[in-house]
Amino acid sequence: MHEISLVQELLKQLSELAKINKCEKITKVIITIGPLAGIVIDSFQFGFDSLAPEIHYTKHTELEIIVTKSGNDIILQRVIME
Amino acid sequence: MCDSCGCHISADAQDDASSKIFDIHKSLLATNNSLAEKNKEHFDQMSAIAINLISSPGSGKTTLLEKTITKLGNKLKIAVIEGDIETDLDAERIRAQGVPVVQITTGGACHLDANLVHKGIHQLQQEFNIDKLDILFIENVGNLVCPAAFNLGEHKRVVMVSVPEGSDKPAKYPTAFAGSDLFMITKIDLLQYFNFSTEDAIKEALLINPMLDTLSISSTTEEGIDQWISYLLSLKRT
Repeated sequence: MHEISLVQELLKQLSELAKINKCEKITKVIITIGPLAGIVIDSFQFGFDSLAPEIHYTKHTELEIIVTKSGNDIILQRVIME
Repeated sequence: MCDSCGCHISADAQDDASSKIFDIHKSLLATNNSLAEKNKEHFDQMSAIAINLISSPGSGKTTLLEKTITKLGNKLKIAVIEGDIETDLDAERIRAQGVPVVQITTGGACHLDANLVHKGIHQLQQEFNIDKLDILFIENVGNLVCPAAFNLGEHKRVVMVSVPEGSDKPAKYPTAFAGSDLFMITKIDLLQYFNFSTEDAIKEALLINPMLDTLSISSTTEEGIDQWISYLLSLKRT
């Protein structure tokens, strides 16, 4: 369930990033998730698919999730914008 | 790029001239973590030790707090922040013990985060005019999964599993144990009725986190309660 909170935090950061850099469209986002982060990947993806289209910058954003070999964090690694 | 952080992201991304690539490497929990640091400073200013209690619903968090207040209420200055999805039933029980308590109802969210606790501390201080405390208990929303991901700024995190839940819980919910300081098995008066191995539970928990302290208690028969009280007294700032 807390996946949704984290998706909201991600979308907040993405919107800020787009605004600061005067971009209109975020095409791709890459995040890494540690196996001990306690995050269900499918739920995170589902949350993203549900919430991202509600926001101007992330209407058509592809989300790539990479599960790392260790760690307990969820990290926004790379954002590609136009 | 990613030899540095080990995320194995290949640099295949985009050659499109209109695209711009931004490498961020920022945790999604960074905002929560920086608020948690502020909470910790706040606790320190109050000279309080903050304890985050995490367990499934019905493991005996509130009952343990009632018992703890009965035993320690006249020795230490205790306050409680109660987290629940709905109702202030738990806060009522603590209030009946004569201890300052605020209820945070998350309205659906399955965990407390640092921001909610920040508001809770201010509410506590305003309502009860508190400037010094010995122990602040933060009773998290009953859930062995989500609360584990959110640092609240606590000094100690206690994870509890009750005997009826089964001794496989540490193996099934490793994140809650990886981030905790103390693992407490509760309701041990029920051991005779359940197929629960304290040995297995502790072994699994220590495999996940070798630094864990462990205690076995029953709030009903008070077995092990003295060790819990000693643990709390050992945390108290001098």
